[in-house]
Amino acid sequence: MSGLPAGLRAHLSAPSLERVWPVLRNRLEQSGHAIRGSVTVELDDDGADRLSGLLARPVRAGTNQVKLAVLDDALRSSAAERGLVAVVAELTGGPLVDRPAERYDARVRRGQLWAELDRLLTGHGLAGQDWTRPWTHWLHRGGVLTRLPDDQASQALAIAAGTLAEC
Amino acid sequence: MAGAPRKLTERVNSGLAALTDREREVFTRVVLGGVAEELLRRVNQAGQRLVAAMSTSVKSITTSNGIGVRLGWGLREEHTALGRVLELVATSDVVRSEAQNSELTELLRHRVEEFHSADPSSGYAAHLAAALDYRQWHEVNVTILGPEEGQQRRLSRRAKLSQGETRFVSYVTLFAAADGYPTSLGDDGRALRLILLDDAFGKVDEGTVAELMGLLVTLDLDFVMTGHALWGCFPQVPRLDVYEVRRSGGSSAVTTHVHWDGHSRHLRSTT
Repeated sequence: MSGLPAGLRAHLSAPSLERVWPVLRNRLEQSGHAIRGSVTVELDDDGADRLSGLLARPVRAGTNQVKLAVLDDALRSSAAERGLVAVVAELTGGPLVDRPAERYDARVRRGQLWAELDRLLTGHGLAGQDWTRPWTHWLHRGGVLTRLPDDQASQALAIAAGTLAEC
Repeated sequence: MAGAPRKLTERVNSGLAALTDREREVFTRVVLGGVAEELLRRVNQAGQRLVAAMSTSVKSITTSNGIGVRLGWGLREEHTALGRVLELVATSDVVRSEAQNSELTELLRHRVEEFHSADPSSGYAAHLAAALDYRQWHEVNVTILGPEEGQQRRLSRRAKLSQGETRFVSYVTLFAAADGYPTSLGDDGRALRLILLDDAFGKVDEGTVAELMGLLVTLDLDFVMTGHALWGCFPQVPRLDVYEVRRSGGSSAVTTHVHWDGHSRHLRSTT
């Protein structure tokens, strides 16, 4: 998709609005791109005029609550012809990440890793050892494996379990 | 010859279509080339600045019973459809999409055409002026505040105000309007800020008269008033000349000139 029209881009990326977009980016990334709720922004006269020209309603300088849904609607019907997530991405330098989705993926990956650990310990006949429970607990809490990329974590786990089985 | 009427009809129709297209093009250029922006500027000036300033100027004044007034500015009930025009002109030129530009142009063109249909003999300029006269779209509305905290209602027969309170609301609104008009002319100090009132403040209690005169002073409006038992010697009024006219039966009128300096009355010669 091509970028925002030059005039609109200049309107939105004026210095008076430059602090608004990172606030919106942060909110959207934290909420998994959900268009709900509002953000609080400080605006000077120029920023208030520009936001007023986008929302088609009076906006006063000072502290303002801006509803994400209202912004999204205004942008979709404007010359931007796209929603808030796409506009914020364009004005703040790149696609937005989805923090809840990232957290969910990380939980799933950790779950798979611990299941793999259980399989390895059982396979090597180590599941009933006295030290097994404290050791797996240490691995769960320490993060030494979960900080590694997925393939390296699996590899390290396999080597560790194999080494322990030989002791 | 048999096909001539058909050909002529086709040419007339294509000519009319070309005229309509050309008209639309010119109109679009006019609307998007400045009319929209000017309309927004004037509506904002009238509504957000002038009426808001008027409302602010009367905000602090209340009757002894706690009745106050707030002034607003909004579309007349019969013109609510023009809200969409105002919404579109309130959108910055660079923000409006092609679809929104077309919608705005069509709405205004349609409005001009309505005026043209109603009176084709007037010129296009007259239709344009009438159609875009935003003042006819709006009205100033008066909201009565109090006496209970947070209580408010629109000015109407059902507002349940005493006669004195009704007059108070009328005076406050009138004073705000008298202030608003010269204020809107610019701040060069040459506008005549004067109000004339005959039989002023009848049935308004003394304390409220003092408040109302204080409002005139605050608004920097000079005044000439007549009234029965109207003195106006209140601390809120820094200077005032009062001419009391008395007559008994068919006798000649006797006048007394009293000057009020904000603290005391001074008898002055009338000659």
